[in-house]
Amino acid sequence: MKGLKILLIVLSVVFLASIACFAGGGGAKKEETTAPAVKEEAAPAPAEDAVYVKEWVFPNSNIITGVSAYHGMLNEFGANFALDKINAAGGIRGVPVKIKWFDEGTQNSALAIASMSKMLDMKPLLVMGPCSDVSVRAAVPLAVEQGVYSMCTMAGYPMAREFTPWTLTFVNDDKLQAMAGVRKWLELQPGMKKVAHFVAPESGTWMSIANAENEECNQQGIKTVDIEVPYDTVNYGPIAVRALGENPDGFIFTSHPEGIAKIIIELQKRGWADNKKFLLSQAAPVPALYEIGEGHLDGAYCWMWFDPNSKSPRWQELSKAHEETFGEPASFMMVWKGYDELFLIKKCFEDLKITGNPAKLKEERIAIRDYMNNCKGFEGIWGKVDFVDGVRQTPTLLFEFVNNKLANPIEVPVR
Amino acid sequence: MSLSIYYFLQLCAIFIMLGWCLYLVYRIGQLNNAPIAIMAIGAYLSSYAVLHWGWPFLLALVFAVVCGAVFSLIPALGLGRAPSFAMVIATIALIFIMQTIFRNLPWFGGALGLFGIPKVKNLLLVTYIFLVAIGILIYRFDHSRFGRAAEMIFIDRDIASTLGINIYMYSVILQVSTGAIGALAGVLYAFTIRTIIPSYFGFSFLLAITCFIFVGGYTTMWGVIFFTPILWGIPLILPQSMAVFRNLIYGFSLMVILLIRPEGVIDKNMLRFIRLKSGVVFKKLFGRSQKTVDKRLKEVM
Repeated sequence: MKGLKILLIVLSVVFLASIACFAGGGGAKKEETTAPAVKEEAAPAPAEDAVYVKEWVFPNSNIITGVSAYHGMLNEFGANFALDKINAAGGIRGVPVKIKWFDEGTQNSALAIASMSKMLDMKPLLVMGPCSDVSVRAAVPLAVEQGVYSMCTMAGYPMAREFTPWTLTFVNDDKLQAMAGVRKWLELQPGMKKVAHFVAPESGTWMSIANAENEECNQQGIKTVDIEVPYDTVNYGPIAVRALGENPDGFIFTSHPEGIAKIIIELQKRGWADNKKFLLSQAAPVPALYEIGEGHLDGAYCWMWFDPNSKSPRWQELSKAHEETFGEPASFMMVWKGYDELFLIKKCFEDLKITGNPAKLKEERIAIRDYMNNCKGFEGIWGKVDFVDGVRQTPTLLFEFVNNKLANPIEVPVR
Repeated sequence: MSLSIYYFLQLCAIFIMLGWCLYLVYRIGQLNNAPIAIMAIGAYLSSYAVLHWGWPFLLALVFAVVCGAVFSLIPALGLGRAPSFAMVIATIALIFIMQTIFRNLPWFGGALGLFGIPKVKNLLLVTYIFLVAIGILIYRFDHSRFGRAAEMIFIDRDIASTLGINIYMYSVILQVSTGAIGALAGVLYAFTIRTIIPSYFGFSFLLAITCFIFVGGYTTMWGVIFFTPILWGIPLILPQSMAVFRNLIYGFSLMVILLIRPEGVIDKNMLRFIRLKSGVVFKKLFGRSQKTVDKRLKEVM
């Protein structure tokens, strides 16, 4: 027994040492700095609007651990891509840029608070993130209290709007967008009387979208039945059986993307053949969906607010880099989240001539907030876009899956 | 005080309270996860009372704690005689039930939850006052005849019954007490974060607290006190590149500790040892006989 314990201790030490090695490893990974957002005084400023800092450091709350860590990885990829571009072009106002990453975990409010409090201790001009609903709800109030603007751009509209004007979201009023997407789908697939709706009850944003989708169906006289898909589902068979047991004419998927493909396969295994009766919500198209659902998705519809097949050269460039890294072209919002955030910061800082001077911290934070909330003509990754009261103005697009890719976008007006 | 230290201290206090909830019922060999579910009740009721009825914080706190204790009586009456395994499963189910209930109640904001909970002045101080008070109560309980009876139940239920100990009553009382502590933790958590959604009160809490108590030691109240700050501090102290292995470190330390020291790092023997060692120092300082102390130390070890 004693020998076993000694062996266990030795193995533990080896294991922890290996963690330490891997944690410090990864040659491609950029070295992080502990420097605050307003890093240090460069030299006595000759002019009022001269940059005060040697380096811009932006704290970024990201999903680094937990079941949604994949989303965080995409976010980091897009942000680092933009970072390289910006730094190669001389940084922001001639000063290089760095991102300091903080882990908010997956659906972990306590960790989100711990991360946000660490970020706020850096006395930043703004914070990038948080990403998930739970983190936005838990951590953004801290930033609001400190008068720091949060670029929680992937937060759903209903989450972010509670903290307006201190938040920025890239998601337009998702209620209206979801309703528009469903309206067009129902128009293309007439005659349905009952729809089974796969929902993720853990997510406030997704539930709010799901409710909007149901509302549109109900307005058109179509009955809806919610089928809950918990995050930690392992076997999707019973979920598919339950949905089929409701005898629906179609299905809407507003749950986590990794599970959607599995549910579709389970439905098809049980005899469902008409893919045109599937409508996927905007968060669905991630590489996992295409990988798992290959050969099963064609014909299904998906509504989104950006076109992953866009010919925008910047998007093409990012998507190509994504394909080189992950083996699939980019299609998920998390990829361009950090990208557009950084370019918006660049535009904001250059237009406002932000200095990073701690003496002006409060006024610069407010100026950044006011500028970003109503920024007009921002050259985003998809082209020019406006922001109104902290909300990005985007149209709804309805796509069809063709050869395992999103195709044939139809622009649907938002009522 | 920096924000990160403030929230570290605040969250540690809440985690310690929740750890004690698990510890208290585990004194009689039952692993009760219900306090996490009751925590949601405390958080929601207190926030609702303040936001919609305009109650002051302290009144809302008392209301939520009373409701939490009353609610915890329902599963307690049913689970009083349940074996440990059944209680674990039933109380995990209770967490899901509670999340589903709050998610579907429109008064509590559904999946979007409640927000705009007002800030409470000196919340950290209030939290630590409660923490110390609960700590004293648990210490007194541990050193009373009730604590000894609970220990007897833990060691052997049959013998405890033959000694006239009412196991069912002990279980119900302890579950209700921990329900009240859980509700209090929920109130403090809600007013710390100032927004609540059902997803807060789920597995992330349960896993963290289970780790804190089983690594720290479940046979004394001190294990949670010492190991909560250490384990919760990992994301704060370690560099980010290592902090992402937090869950791995939790899981691994739990596994190793359970194999090497099944009762956790701080167990009763360690406490006795520390007590005697401190006695040695004391007696050295005040000139007592070293031999007597060494003899006692050998006896214990």
